[in-house]
Amino acid sequence: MQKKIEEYSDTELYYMLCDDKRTAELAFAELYARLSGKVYAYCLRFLGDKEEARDIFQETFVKFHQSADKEREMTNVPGFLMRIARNLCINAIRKDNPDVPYEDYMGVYDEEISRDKKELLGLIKKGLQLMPEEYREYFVLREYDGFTYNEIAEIMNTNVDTVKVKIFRAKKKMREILAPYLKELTNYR
Amino acid sequence: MDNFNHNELSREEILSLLMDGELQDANEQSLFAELAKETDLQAQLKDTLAIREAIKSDSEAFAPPPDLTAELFDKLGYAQRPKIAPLGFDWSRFMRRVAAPLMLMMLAITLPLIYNATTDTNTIDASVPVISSESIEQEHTNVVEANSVSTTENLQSRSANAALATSSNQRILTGNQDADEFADNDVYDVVSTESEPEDFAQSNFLDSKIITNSNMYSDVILVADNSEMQNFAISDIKAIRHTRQDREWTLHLRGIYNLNADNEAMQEFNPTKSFAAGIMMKLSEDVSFGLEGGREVYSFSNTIEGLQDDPYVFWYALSFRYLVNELNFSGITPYVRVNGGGSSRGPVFAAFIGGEYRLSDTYALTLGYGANLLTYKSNNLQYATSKTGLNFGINFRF
Repeated sequence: MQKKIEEYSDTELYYMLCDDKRTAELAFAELYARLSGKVYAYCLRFLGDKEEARDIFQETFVKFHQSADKEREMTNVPGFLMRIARNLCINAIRKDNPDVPYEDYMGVYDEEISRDKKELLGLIKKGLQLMPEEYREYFVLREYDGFTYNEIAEIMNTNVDTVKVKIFRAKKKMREILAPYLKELTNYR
Repeated sequence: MDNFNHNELSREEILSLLMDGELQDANEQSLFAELAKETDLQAQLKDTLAIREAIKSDSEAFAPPPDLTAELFDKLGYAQRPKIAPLGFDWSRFMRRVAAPLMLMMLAITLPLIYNATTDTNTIDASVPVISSESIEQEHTNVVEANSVSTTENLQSRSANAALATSSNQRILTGNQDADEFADNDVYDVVSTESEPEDFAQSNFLDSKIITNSNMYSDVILVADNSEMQNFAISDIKAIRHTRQDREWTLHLRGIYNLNADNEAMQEFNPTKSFAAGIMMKLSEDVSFGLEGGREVYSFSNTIEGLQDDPYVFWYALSFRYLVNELNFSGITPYVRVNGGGSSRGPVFAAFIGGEYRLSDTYALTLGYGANLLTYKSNNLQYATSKTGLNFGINFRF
């Protein structure tokens, strides 16, 4: 009996991108269904700009699609895709968006603080933009995309020890950024 | 994570590892011990959980917008056409898991009630005395002369559940405690043959009473010769007549011919694959209500999974029909029908307009034009697909 498309592994689907158009379309649609959420979350929250995130997201998948090659050794499709997204994001940031100085993050609290989760999310988004780039993407990969430390290490082309340290510092910075709000929240818990 | 030396980590770092599922078991126990007494650690835990919880609600980030998906697939030359923005609520899951069972439960409760209201053949107490129906059979009318009620004494002797019955299919049941003096609201059901009710003139009798408290029969008339209709005895009854109420059930079957054919399956006209059937109960002269179900083909080509989707969808719906009796043209009565329900993919809605031609009291032909909308979820996004078509069918009333 023929396998359903959702039963194929990421790697099998990747190689199917090189087959005829119909097969490639099915494979791409399935891979897109599996991975687009992670890529979009990464682009949107790492870049912090919706329009730019859309462009990078689209470019990521176009490059991914173009990269399909039967000869390419492919073991980790999500990692490969995230690396494409990361390179494009880094280039975009280098080109257009100089980092906001970390020290500026306290400006977040000009707004009225609410205990509402929606407001906390709004602050997290702002906090992400105020967080140094090197920590921001680790934070997004871990907290948004749910990658394990090993997967993140592969995506970032680094070792797991570094990932551990970066993630710890990223989370610490986020807590520091949100400290007044979280303190307020604690008073009501 | 085996290359970590956890002994060199701060307790905050260990907590971070724990929350990311990267901590070795050996470190958990000592961390929990510290967590129990250290308020700073507890605060870190709570803060991290609050941040994580807030991130989970960041629905904007976790799925690309449909128009972005469409742009991308267009760019790659793939046939994808997302139509509507993502919704926060999983309607298809709601319909499958909540609405459908609720509707079935309601149906299971109401159908027996309605059935009991329409027929009493199974509900009459076997102990109800049967009054001789000889006179009725002889005269072929629904009139029961009072003197043919030979069991009046028996009836009077029954203190509860007293009843008057004229034959196995013409009876009055009462729920009063004293059959000798029962009010009209004691009569809770009447079943009769429908033999020529027109022969039965109300003016032939001294007095009459219309009983309307039976659900499925109207125009039930008890005719008595006393003037106190609220307090009459069985012996006062001169005749009984009833006319079956015009409420009725309709079974219908219809085939569907799609007018917008977005895929091969929609172009094919096959009544065995695109059909609907249902049962309707007439609530009034114009309005009917019921349940309908069927199988239809839709276009799912607008989703990223569309290419592999089975376009045939089983659906069910609550259905309301308004028959515009005032606008009857040469025997054709216009109707409007609205359906709302669920399907194997998600909620379905439909509206129809058409005409009904009665072949006889029992059969009618229908022809209508309908528009359907089905919403469904794909890749965590909500989509909608719609179609229009001709519906032609047959109704059977009973």
